[in-house]
Amino acid sequence: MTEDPRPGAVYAIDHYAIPTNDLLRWMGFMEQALGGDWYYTHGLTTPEAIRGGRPRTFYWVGMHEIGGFLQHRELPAPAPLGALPRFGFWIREEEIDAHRRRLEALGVPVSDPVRTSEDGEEGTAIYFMDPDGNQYELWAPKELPPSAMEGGNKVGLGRISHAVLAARDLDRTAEFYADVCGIEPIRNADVAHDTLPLRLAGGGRIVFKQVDELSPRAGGTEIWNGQHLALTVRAEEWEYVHDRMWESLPEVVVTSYAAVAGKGVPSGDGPRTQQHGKVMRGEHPEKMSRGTSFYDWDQNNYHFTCGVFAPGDPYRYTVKSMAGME
Amino acid sequence: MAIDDPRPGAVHFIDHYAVPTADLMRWQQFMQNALGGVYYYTHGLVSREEARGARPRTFYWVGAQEIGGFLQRRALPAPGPLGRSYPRFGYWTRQAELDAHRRRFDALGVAASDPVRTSEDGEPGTAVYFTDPDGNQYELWAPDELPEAAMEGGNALGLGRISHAVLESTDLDRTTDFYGRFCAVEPIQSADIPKDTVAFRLAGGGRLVFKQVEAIGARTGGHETWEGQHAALTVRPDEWELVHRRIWDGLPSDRFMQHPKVARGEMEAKLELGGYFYDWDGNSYHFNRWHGQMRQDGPDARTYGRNPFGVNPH
Repeated sequence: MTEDPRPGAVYAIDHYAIPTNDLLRWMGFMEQALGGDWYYTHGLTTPEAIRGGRPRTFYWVGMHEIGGFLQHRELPAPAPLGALPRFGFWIREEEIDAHRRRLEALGVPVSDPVRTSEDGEEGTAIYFMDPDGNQYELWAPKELPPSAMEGGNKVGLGRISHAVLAARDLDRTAEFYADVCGIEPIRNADVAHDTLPLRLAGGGRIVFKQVDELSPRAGGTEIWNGQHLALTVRAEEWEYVHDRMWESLPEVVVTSYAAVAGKGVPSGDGPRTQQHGKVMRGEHPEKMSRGTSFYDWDQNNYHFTCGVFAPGDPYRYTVKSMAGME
Repeated sequence: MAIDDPRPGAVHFIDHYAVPTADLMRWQQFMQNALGGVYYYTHGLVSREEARGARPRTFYWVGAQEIGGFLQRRALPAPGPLGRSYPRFGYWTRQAELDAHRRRFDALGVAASDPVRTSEDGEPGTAVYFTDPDGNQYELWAPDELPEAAMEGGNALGLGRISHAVLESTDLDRTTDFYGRFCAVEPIQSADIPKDTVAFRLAGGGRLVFKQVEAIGARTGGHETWEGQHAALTVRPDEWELVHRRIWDGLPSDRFMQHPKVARGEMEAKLELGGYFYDWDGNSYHFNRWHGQMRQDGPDARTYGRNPFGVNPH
């Protein structure tokens, strides 16, 4: 964790959503491989479809909502295990082999355990993917942060430990996340030269890998409908983080959700803000003065989640609102 | 009730039907709670199916009948009045259980009529009319005399098999000629049947009933009007070739088409020509020769009874 986080720092990855070409198959993966509990499915009504809403399901994986959005377009062929974007869950080191056996029994492609410290902290990873080629990781660090294993996941996964994303310019990326997310690089001799791990105030990480070009799977909801991450900030800093973002990033106004979502064509080259999809589709009133969805230099797409933390506890929170929506 | 000596190629039963919905998960709850349906499968939530034009759709087993709901691209019209709107699909019910069904509907918030005693649709009995949340019309039909096997199927809420369908016709003479020729069914003759009604007796004891209308309503029509909407009519397996040859030889080519799964490339064409056909008023059908049988070796058997969707919390 960060002892003295900067004002408006991101504390945790609250949730993420990924693309799928087969929503029911993905739901089966979530239940069996990640121990998810069905939360809701939206996009199966005519009014939603007319507004551009797509079929999508969210699961609770422990305390995290994880979403899968059915795509219009075919996803690219799966990349090798360990490719990007990749999302990690904390696990206990002594349970690594059991998880590998469990995933293998389900027919999930899974790597051997990999001992590494190149992404900012020391531990053991196993990489795996879902049937759509979305990449995941079970991360057993040498030292688990407090509350890492909370959430009651029924197959023994902890909370979201980290995300590994692509960046074409690590310096530019470091500056962006310091300015917009209040987080700083982890610095140690083991961090690979092509890697930028950023420490979240609640103990997790966002890790960037230097790439020459973005892969076809990179990008937010404009590239793959619904794909995004949600980053938890403190409730008392909610307005501050948005004002900070709006002061530094331009807003891109799009004609409609359906016109941009999942088309594979970004609405801009650089960092920008945009209305959240639910607001664009008219499903939620616009309560904020500008768009709450934002993009970094490499089309990675986020919104903030408003977390209410107990005094002195940087790990545990309850969600007050997401992207300005109750 | 059943016809002792049906004509060659006669329709024996309404095997199944599919209706349009504007909210697939709400319709699933209706099927489970109001009709005692058992989840069978959901298709159309795959990108490549969607690219071929397929829509999200769920099928339930209601007793021995496979009933489908297809998510629509456009809004459905406002619901018509209970018992006077079409298409309407009926299930056999025991007369002694009608009140219990009505109380059950009331508890579920399902719009249902009082029991209506009638013989105007070809046989005497008591009907309770009701609708689903999309305004699709249904009927519980308790005839004075239940046909043999009417209550089979093991429906958890005590519904029997599909008793009948009530559809629209803009010309009852033309409709009588059509169903006589292509479904080998004959009108029931009874002094109780009003002149705006023609009721055909199916060989297995059910009915297809048509009501004369000036113009067909916004809900009438097959797959081309409301995606997926159709009824399937059971014929004898040994008359499978006969019934299809009869429609191909007798109907203009624009009145029959390939099954949508064949048209989308999801299923190999097993018939020489299209097996979906339309009557003069847009009512759409295909024949079926596996009445009330779930194919245990089929790819969808593994999801029988296992609805992956629940009730959305918001």
